[in-house]
This record gives sequence, C-alpha cells and structure tokens, in this order.
Amino acid sequence: MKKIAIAGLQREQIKQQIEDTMPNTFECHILTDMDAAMKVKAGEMDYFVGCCNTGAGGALAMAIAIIGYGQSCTIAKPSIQAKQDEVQQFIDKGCIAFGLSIEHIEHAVPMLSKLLAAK
Amino acid sequence: MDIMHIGLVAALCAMTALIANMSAAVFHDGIRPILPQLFEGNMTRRDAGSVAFGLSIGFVASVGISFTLSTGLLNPWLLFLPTDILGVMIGSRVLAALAGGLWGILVVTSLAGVNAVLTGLPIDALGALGELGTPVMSAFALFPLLAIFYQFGWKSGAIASVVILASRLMIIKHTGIYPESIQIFVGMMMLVFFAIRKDLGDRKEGIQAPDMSGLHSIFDERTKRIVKHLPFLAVTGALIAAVSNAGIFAGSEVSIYSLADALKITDPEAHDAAMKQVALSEFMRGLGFIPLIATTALATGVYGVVGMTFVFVVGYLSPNIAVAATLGAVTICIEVYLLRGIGRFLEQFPSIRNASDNIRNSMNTLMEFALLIGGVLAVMKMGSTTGFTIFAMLFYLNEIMGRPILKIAAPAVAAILTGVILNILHVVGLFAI
Repeated sequence: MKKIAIAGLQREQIKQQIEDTMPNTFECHILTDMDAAMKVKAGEMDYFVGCCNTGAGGALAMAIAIIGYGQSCTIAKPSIQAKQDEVQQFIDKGCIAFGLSIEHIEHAVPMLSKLLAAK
Repeated sequence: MDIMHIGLVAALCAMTALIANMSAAVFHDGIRPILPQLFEGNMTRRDAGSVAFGLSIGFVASVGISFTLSTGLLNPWLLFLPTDILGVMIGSRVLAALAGGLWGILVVTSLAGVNAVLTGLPIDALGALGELGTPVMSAFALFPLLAIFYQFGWKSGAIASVVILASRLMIIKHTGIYPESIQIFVGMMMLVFFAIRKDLGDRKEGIQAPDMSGLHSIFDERTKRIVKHLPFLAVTGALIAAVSNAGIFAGSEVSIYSLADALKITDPEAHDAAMKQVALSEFMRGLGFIPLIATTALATGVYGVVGMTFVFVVGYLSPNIAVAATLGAVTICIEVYLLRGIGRFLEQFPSIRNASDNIRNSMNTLMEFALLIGGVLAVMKMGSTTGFTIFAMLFYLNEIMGRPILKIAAPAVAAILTGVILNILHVVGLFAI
C-alpha cells in the first residue's frame, strides 16, 4: 500500500477525502511539513500532499527544499482549479510532492487520489 | 491622502520591488520557494515572473482590491503582490524600484478617485460595506477554541467552550475592557495546556521528535543569505511600520476592518482601547504565523517582505511615524537574529508546529465565516432582502464556477457588486430606497 504524508492546512479533511475517494488504497499520515518531506525523501513514504492558502508557500516550501524543486508541483492555486491533464503530466514527470490551496481541496484531492491510484 | 502619504507609499513600494528583485524578500509565501531556482540560475526571470503572476493574481484581484475598496485602507496584497511580480520579472534593480514606486503612486491616487465615485452613489454602498467587519473581532477571538477542536477533538473543545464563554461573561459583567482579548488569552492558555499534556504523554511512550540534523547545513547557509540582506529588509520594515502608523494601511484580514472602525472613533480614550485591541489581534495572528514564516525562510533563504508581521503591531501602537519607523527596523532585525533559534526550537517541539498549522487553519475558517456574515449584514443594510438576494446569487455563482474569487474575498466582492447593481437598478427605476 502506497503511503501519503499530509502536511499543512486542513489535513484531516484531505485525509478524509483521499480515503473516501479511494478506500483502502493509501495509508495516510498526518505530519508536520518538515517531517513529511524528510520521510518522503528518505523513501519511507511515497507522496507528499501539502495544503496552504496559496498552494505553493506553506504547502511546498519544505518539500522543495528537501525533496527537490523538480519533483514538487502546485496542482491548484487561488482562483485556478486543478486540471486533470496537468496533474497527470506532473505525475508522469515524476512529481511526488503536491501542493494545493485550501479552497480547492474538495475538487483537487479526489482527482489527485484517483490519478495516483491509477499509476 | 496628502503628499506625504503618497511619498511614503511610493518609497515603500519601490523598496519592496527592489528587495523582490534582489530575491532578498517577497510578500507571497508561494513565490519564496521558487526564488532559489532564480538566484541559483536554474530559472529565467521570465519564467519566475509568470509563476509569480499566476500565484498572485487571484489574491490581488479579489482580496487586495475588495478589502481596500470596502475600508479605504491599503493592504499588503494590493501593494506588495504586484511589486513581487515587478521585482521578480524586471532584470534591472533601478527599473524594478521605479516600477514599484509607480505602482504605489497609482494605487493611492486611483483609490481616492474610486472612493469619490462610490461615495456619490444614491444608495450608500460604501457606508454599508463597513458592516463587513462587524463579526470579525468576535469570530477571530474564537481561533484558539477552534484549534483545540481540530487538534484535540470535541471533548476538550467542549470543556474549552464552557471556560471561554464563562470568561467572556465575567469580563463583560465586571470590567469595561474588550472581552475578546481575554477570550484569546484564555483560549491560547488552554491550547498550550492540551499540547503540553499530549507532548508529555508522547514522551512517556517513547515517541521522539524526528531527526532533522541533515538539514542544518542548508538552514545555516540560507540564514547567512538573509542576514546579508538585513539592511534592506530593515528599511522596508521601517516603511511598513510608518504606513501602518499613518492610518492608511492595514496589515491583514484580521485587522483591516477593525482598524477602519478604530480610526473612525473620535474619543481619544476609546480610540486608544480600540487600537490596542486591533494590535492584539494582529499580534496573535503573528504568533500563529511565526513557524510558517521562519521555516520557509530557513528553507529558502528568502525572507518575507513584512517579516513575521510584527511590524504592523509596532506601527499601530507607536505614538508617531518616526518612532514607528525606528521600531519597525528594530523589529525586523530582532526577527532575523532569532530566526535560527526559532528553527531549532520548532525541530524539538513538533507539537508547536502542529498547533501552528491548526491555528492558521482556524483563523482562516473563522475569517471566511465572519466575512460571509459581515457581507450579509452589509447588503441587508444597502437593500434589505433584495440586497441579500443579489448577494446570494453572486456568492453561489462564484462557488459553481470553481471559486475564481477566493473564498475569503468572495463576500466582500459580492457585497461591492451588490452595491453597484442596486444603484443601477435604482437609477433605472427598478429599485426604490
């Protein structure tokens, strides 16, 4: 079972959304961003999902510093919803850290979970 | 807005564009992690600029413009997000600073014009928009409680609710001070109490804080970079404290509406008490943001334009602009000096970092809630239930369209548009006052 480290804002809601969309597919862990990024970097966990007001700052700063810029991406930002093809491209490119802004959780997290499950 | 205010804002915006250009500091937390790519040479200014634009435009168009239109006070989203973009995109230091300064002048001068137009309307939209802030203070005071709910579940939350309500009632009955300050204090004490109890429990079970020593060299290197830029950061901090002190600028969503109200109070004593309350809310918000701003700074080597936001507090409380500016510069220096220590502290106490996430979460949730209710109050004042009908239509239009306007700004934008629509309906004779 793939492991997802969840950091940032509304972590419980993100966890719930992942588990509702894809039951028994992922093992979700609620962590601080430093801890989450370290665990993903070390290979103990597979994906980093971070959420903040911007989808890029609080959500991804640690992921970019620790996991790397090339493997981090913002899937949804203020005023702009996540797009399925774009998220798929990020996943194909090898991104393992995903940032999103707080108001797009209900839209972006189910999409991301489905695409990650299909991978 | 007199000439000195225009000069202050122009100088401030020129400075923020300059430090964005140097990759020393930006306002948008989302741009900070990208800047190392720029100064390490992995990304062009054009690319970085377009990322900055994409991340910021939603905030400028919704939060920045609507908060300022509804209060008459400038805000960081309106001033500093565009200077982030200009600074990151323009190659030359001088041109970036000039463009920033021009942006500042443009905003200040056009704000006066737009205000004049809005004030002249037959249905007073501008006065009614003041209602937006009515629930803000009381809602904000509940953030520690909501954080307790998030972090420790409903049982601890229920106990905390009773204690907070009791303290509110006692304060109102026996004293004349704002009950909200005491509520925040009592709430924070309980949050810390529950957090420490949990931490001690974890330690007994042998759960240790995760080891972050692998990151120390990068943190040290990034801190050196910030210290190198300190003179520029301090000057910016001084200017921000100065505009906050001048009564033309508010630091955050938490303070902007209550500051607009406080500035209207003519009785010096009541004004003073209201300003202290505004400063306290801003201070508490600042505490909640320290971990985010500090860790992002350590990870990226890029500081925040407004630092840890305590320059606002200093600005609100200082007796005059000169004192505000001096203390603003000192504040930024202290923050940067403490940066590395804060990082070490947060490594050792993960529960504090956790609590900070929950606190920011709670503040955001409560502000969305308060501004939605405030929006309803404002449109009811403008056009009673017809106003409400138009407001609700606009609000849900935004929801269905995937929230092109940020949730926190949607009520303010909808209320402003409702005011405009009601006036048009009135002019064509479809809506009587």
